[in-house]
Amino acid sequence: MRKFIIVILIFIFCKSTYAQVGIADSTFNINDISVVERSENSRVGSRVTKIEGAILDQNRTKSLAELLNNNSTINIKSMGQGALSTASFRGTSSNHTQVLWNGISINSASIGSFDFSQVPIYFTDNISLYHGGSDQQSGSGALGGSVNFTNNDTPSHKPSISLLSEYGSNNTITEGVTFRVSKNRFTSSTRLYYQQSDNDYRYLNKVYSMDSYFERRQEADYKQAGVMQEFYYKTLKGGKFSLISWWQFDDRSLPQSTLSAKSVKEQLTSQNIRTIATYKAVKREHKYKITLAHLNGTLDHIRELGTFSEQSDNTNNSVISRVDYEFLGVSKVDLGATLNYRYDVINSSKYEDGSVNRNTISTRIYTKVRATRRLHFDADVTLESVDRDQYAIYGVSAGYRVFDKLLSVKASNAYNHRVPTLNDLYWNPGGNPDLKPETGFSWDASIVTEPSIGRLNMKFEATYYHMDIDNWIMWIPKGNGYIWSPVNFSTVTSQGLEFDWKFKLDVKNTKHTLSGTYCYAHSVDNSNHGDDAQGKQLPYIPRNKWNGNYEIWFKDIAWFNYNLSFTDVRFTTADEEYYTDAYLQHNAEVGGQIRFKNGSLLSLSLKLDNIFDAYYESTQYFPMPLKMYRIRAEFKF
Amino acid sequence: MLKKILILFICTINALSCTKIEPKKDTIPPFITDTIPVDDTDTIPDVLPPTAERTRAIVVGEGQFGYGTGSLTSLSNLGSVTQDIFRRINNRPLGDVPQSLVKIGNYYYIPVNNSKKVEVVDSKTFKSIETMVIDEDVIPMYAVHLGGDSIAVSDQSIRNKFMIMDINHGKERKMVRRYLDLGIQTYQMKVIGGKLFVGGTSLSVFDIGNITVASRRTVLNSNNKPFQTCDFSKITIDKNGNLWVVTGSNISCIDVKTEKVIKEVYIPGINLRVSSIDMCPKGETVYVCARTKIYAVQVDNPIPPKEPIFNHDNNDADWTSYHMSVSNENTIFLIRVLYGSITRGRVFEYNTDGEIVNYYNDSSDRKQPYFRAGIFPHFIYYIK
Repeated sequence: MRKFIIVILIFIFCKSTYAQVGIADSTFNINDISVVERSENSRVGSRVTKIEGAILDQNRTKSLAELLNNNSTINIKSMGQGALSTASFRGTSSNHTQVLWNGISINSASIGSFDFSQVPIYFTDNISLYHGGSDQQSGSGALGGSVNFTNNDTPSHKPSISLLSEYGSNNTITEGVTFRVSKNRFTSSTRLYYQQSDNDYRYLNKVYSMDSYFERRQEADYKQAGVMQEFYYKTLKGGKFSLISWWQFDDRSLPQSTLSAKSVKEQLTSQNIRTIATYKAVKREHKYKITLAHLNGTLDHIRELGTFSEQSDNTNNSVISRVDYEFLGVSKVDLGATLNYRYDVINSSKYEDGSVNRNTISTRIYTKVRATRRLHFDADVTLESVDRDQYAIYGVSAGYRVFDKLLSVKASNAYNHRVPTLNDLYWNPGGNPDLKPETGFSWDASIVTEPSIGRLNMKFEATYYHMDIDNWIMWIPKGNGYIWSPVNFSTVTSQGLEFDWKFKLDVKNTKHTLSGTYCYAHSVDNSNHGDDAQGKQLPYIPRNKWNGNYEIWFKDIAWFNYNLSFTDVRFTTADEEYYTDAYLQHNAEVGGQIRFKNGSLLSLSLKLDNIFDAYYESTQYFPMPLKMYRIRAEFKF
Repeated sequence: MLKKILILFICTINALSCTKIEPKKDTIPPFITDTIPVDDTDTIPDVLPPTAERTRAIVVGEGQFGYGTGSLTSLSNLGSVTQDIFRRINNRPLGDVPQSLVKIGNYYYIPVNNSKKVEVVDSKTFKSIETMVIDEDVIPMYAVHLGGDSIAVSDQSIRNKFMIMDINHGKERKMVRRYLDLGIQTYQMKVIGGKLFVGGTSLSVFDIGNITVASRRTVLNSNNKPFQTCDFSKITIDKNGNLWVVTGSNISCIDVKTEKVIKEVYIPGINLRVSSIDMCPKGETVYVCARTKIYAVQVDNPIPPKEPIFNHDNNDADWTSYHMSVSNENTIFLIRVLYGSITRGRVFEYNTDGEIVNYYNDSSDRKQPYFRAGIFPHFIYYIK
């Protein structure tokens, strides 16, 4: 393997050439297909996965967590449908995954990790996954990778309305409305979304008592509502202004494990209002973009056990201002800089003063060089100041097209860090203000081939990655044992392989797509605490994860989709002595659509998840639903 | 072409579906479930060779809260260790945070706190006999036999429920429960002299035949005030029939008849959370663990010790002292756990001079002065 990597690197650095001329960040509307060209921040040599529009369409009523679990190499750890779901890349933890909405990090400054169950796919138009630590477009923190979901400016020549209604198992009701209108240079898009579920699915409890018994999931109901308003305006001089505001409300009961007391009731209510305003323009050789964002979130948690109850409230506010500048005056070379300021303030009864805040200023300079038609490379350096501490991170990458579409190779290397969360530093009791940031050094190398044989188009990408993370933060009891406190506890090495493949074939009236991903992750703790954990796989990181997807369209009228998703055994303890079983899910969808003469479109579909009633747990002793159906109708006019 | 792709796809799926990591599974030694007596009431037949292996102690591991990794680990008289017996024999986990075990007749009773149940296990086979589900909002922590078909179960929660449960494992099982609101959290208990002593946020006393809220009495310290006992630590009995408990910065000796404190002995460094107390088999010496230091107090001459009899700080500072108890052979078992890592704890066995008694092979066949037992091992039951 080492020799193989060296050969790749020699290829990258000793040869020259490649193409892909920098296209300004633009959206083209070709019939119903939206094509978003690469953003100015995507790296030449890093692995970036884009979730297909068709897959997004099929999963409109699902959460980002469910979508990523079945269609990517990302590892999702979920407590159940509608419940807390976190994501991790390449054998790292959920804290090492940055979530960007239209380029702005929306991870909580207090917790660090992000709950992927709170993002309805209905509110996303594009999803890109940046694998590895080289994505530094929104500052530091993405040691494992980042998930970037964006919204498109899709002008509509006449007012258009889309109505979506879905009913599924366990009384799961979903409603969605989208209204789009464009006039002159102005476009408005309004999306409303609502989902509720009793979520009281039935499963066999084999672990609580001597005799197995069927029971229904208790205290797992949830409601989710959201509104997203987008305004886009193009100025006469070619500038573009956008204002996007997203209100999201979630109210859910938190189910307990099948081994825990059933009388515990936990309720989590959250509300988030996120607003982003941007203005971007190109003046001669100067391209710039100004972004202002405000993120507001409240989180109320109530835990009741009989007459005993405890409650915690948390409010967070973040203001982000950012200026992106790119100089286009040098042929074949892009030079850019980003100045980013972020102010986070968290109010919580768990902080000594009731409130803590953080100022983050980062300056990033980058360059992209199209050395030849075949060889591109880029480099960036970010200097970050977090309150009084200063850090520097960097990333370099290169891509070399060996035989046009037949063979490309690329590689990247990055040094990144993640500063401790505000809870890590200031939680009372236990916060540790002396914590060091976690640091990650990573590199990866990929081979990409996109051959075509007749009407068969193929794409295959294979990546090897390696990363070392130091000062991994863990919470452990201190002092008399009552108080837990975070410490820099471990060093972790994670390496593995990722494969993506896709085949597309048009035969007469049918279009076939066969695609899949496979990930092998070897993520081990290198620390020697004498706990038998040294060299062992980290808890909840599967060594193998794959999924496959087959889709057939008939005359643009009817479709059938079959999805398989496999997650390997995951150890639940650091010494690999306890584990939760591997599982394979089969999901299928069949649907049809009618296009009326006036251009309106009616589509109907039936989706079956977990067709063969596989018992599985994403988190040990938190059973996931057996077979579930969903019937969906969508009308666009 | 399409057919070929489909066939390839299906074959790949099948191949990968069949590939499964099988985590290692230890076999269960025959002596665990064999007919060899393993409890303290059965008589060992004369024909049994002296080297025959039998269970010497059972370690109850709490597991990590919320993860259901509670366990029972068996230690044999020849030093072999069998992990997670309950799960292996019953093909299911013991539950979420078991913290004690008591033997009544032929059964072990294991309160499992976050699972709100008491598991009943056959003491010879470790087969599950019954799961006694508790339908009140309590955290069952310790159980004690009140005599006949009754057990008392303490409640660690602040809901102050104390349970009396009837255990009738005959053909017609009936589970009668009484819940008493004592107004205190309850931990360890001891039955002696027709009385039930209940440790907790105060030390309460009941007459066995009259366990009611109204009949509860409270033991007072030398300042005539109620005192809290250590939640993890035993209530132990000396050769004179007096009780010894950890009470804040002291250990206290209590006269069972008068329910008065006879003596309070200051022990450096003890606190209610992490300290343990136990008695030597003859009831002559009280051993107290304050973090890594072991102190000895003579029952007949209970003067405050100035120095520990030994310190079991093994240059493994990351590992925290979690529990101490004294075996039937008057050796001292010390448990250390590693916070921050969900992994099995270490159990050391010392003699009273502070020397390691036994060495065990670790997973790499290296000799270690400890054996591994469950995640957060908390309680050791010694079989006579």
